[in-house]
Amino acid sequence: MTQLVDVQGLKVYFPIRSGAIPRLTGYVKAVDDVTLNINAGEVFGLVGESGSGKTTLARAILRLVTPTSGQILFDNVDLLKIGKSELKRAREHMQVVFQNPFLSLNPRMTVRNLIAEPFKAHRKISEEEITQRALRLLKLVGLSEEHLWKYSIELSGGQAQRVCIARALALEPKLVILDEPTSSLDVSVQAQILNLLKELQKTLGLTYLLITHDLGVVEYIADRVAVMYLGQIVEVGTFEQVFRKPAHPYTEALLSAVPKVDPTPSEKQRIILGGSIPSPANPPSGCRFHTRCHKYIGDVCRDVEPPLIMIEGERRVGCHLYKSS
Amino acid sequence: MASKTGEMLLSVSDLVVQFHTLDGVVHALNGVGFDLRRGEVLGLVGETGCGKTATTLAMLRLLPENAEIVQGHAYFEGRDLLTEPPHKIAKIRGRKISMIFQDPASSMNPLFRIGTQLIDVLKEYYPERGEKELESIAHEKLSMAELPDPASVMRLFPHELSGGMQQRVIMAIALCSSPSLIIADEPTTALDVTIQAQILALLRKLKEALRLSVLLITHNLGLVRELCDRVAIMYAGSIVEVADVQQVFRNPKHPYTRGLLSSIVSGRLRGQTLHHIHGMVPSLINPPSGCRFHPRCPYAIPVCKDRAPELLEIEPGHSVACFNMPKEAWWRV
Repeated sequence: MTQLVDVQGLKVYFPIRSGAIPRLTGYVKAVDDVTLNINAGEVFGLVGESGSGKTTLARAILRLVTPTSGQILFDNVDLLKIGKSELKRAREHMQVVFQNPFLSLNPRMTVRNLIAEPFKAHRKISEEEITQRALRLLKLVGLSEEHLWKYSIELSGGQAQRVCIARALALEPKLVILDEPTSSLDVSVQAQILNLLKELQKTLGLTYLLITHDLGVVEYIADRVAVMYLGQIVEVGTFEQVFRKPAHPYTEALLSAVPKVDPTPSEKQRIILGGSIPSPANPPSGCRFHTRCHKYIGDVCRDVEPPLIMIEGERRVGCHLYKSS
Repeated sequence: MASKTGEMLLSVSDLVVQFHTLDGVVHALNGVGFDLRRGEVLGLVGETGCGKTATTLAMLRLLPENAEIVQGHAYFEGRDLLTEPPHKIAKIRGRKISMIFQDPASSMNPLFRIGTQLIDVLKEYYPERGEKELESIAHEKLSMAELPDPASVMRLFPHELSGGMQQRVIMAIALCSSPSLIIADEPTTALDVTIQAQILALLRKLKEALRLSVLLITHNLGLVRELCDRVAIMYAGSIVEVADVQQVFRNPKHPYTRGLLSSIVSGRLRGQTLHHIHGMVPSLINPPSGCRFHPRCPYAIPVCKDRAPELLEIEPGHSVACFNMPKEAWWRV
C-alpha cells in the first residue's frame, strides 16, 4: 500500500498575546506532536470533540495554516519545504468539503461559475469546455442541467452539498478532506450524501480524510480511525479495532456516550466522564486525559506523558494501561 | 416510565398556524395535536422545517408578528393558552412552563454575572424576599443543576463557563420558578457527546426528583430513545405517528417514520447502501394535496392524493395518520 499522506511530529501552536501592550504570554497547542499516515485509496476517519484539534490538523495538511514544526509528506513531497508555485500544483490534488455548504458557496455566483473556479485557477480551458465539464460533474453527483444556472440560495442543503462535492472533484484530486460533510443535514439527506461519497470513492479511487464527531458516520464508512484528544492522537487502528474493542479509556467513553437507537445491553451501561475538555493553552501534565479518566491508575498518569505505542498489528494507543507488544 | 393514567398536563388539539410572507402564505402547522401527562417526557421529532419549533412558539404565544393562529386549542392545567389574555400568558410563561434552547450562550446576557442573572429571574417570582434570601435560592438552584462550587459560579460571566456548564446554568434558571413543564428545544445539539451524556443524565434525574413533564424537541432519534416515554413524529406540519418509544422503534407504522428510522447511519450497516426517503421535503407555501407525504411515499394509493388521513389509534397508545393501516382501525371511527 502506498502512503499518500505522511505526517511526522506535527505541531501547530497559536501564540497568545495579552496585556495593553500585547506581549507573548503563551501558546494554544492546537496540534501537539501528531504523527499519522493515510494510505492511498482508504477512508481515514478522524474523530474527537470540539477543540481537540481535528480541523487544525486538516488545515495544516492543506497548508491553510503554517505548522510550527514537523513534516508533512503529500505524495512524497514535503509540503513545508516547497515554494508557492509548487504548493499551488500540490493543492490541485487535495480538495476539501466543509460542513456548511451555504458558507462555502458564493451566493452571487451561479452553480456553473462556482464549479468553474478550480478550472480557472489551475487549467487553461475555454469557457465552452468549462460548461461541458461542469455539467458532467453535476451529473456525477446526482444533479442535472437544470441546476447549472441556479444560485446557491435556490438549492436545498443536500443539493448545495452536492455542488461542493462536484467542485472538490473538478480537478480529479487524490485526497479529499471532508470536514463534517453531513453534520448540518437532516438524517434522510445525510444518508443520500453518504451513499454518494461512498460510491464516488469506489468509482474514482479517491482517498478521504473524514473529520467528524458523528461516530455512526465514521463507523459506517471509515477503513481506519484516529481518535484525538486535546491536540494529540490517543488511538489509531482499523475501524473494527477501534469500534469493537476500544483500547484507550477516552475512546471507550466517547463511544459509550452516543445515544443509540438500538442499544445492546452492554451499550446501556454508560461511562459518564466528569468535567469538560481542558484548555489547550494549559493542558494537564502527564497524560492529558488523566483529569477526566475513569481508569486512572496513579501518579504515572499525572506525571508521565504516555507515548503512542503499538499494541497489535497496526494499532497504536497512548495510555499507561498498555505495554508495547 | 410515566404512568399511563397520569393526570393530563397539556393537551394541544387541531392547531393550525400560517405565516404570511412575501412569497405567499406558509401553511406551517396543519392540525397538530398531542397530549402530555404529568411526569412524562414526550419527544417531538422531525426534520428541519417540519414545524416542531412553530408548535411550541404557538403554545407560548411567542410567534412572530407575521404568524397567525388560525384555529386550535392548547389546554395547559385546564386553561387554553391560545385564548388567554396576554397578561395572563405572561404569568404562565416562564413560571409554569420553562424553556431551554439549543445554544446556551445566546440565552444569557454576556454582560452580567451568572448570579445577577439568576437573582433577576428569582426577583420576579419571589418579590417579597430579600437579596440575601434570593442569593441562597440561586445557590440551591445551581446545585440542583449539579454545578460544582455554585458560590464561585455565581461570580462568573457566561463566557467563563464551558458549553456544558452554561447549559447547566440555563437549566438552573429554568428551575427557578419550580415549573411543571419544561420545553427543551434541541438541548444538547450544540454540545459534544461526552457533555451531552452528562446533561442527559441530569435531565433524567431532575425529571424524576421534581416530577417534571418535559417536551423534548429534537431531530436526534438516539436521544429520544434514551430520554422519552412517548414520541410524536412530525412531517410537513402534521403529526403522522404517536406512540410509546418502544413501539415506535420496534414497530414503526407510518411510512415516513420507517424511512426516517432506516436512514440512520450506524456501523451495523457497513457495506450496505443506506436507505433514504426519495424526493425532498415539500414547500409549505404550496403543500401537496391530501396526505402531505404522498409524493414521496412508496405505499401511496389514490385516496392519499385526495384526502388527508386522520390520526387514528390502531392499537392502545399507538396512533398513525395513514390510509394504509388495517381496515379495523377505520371502522372504529
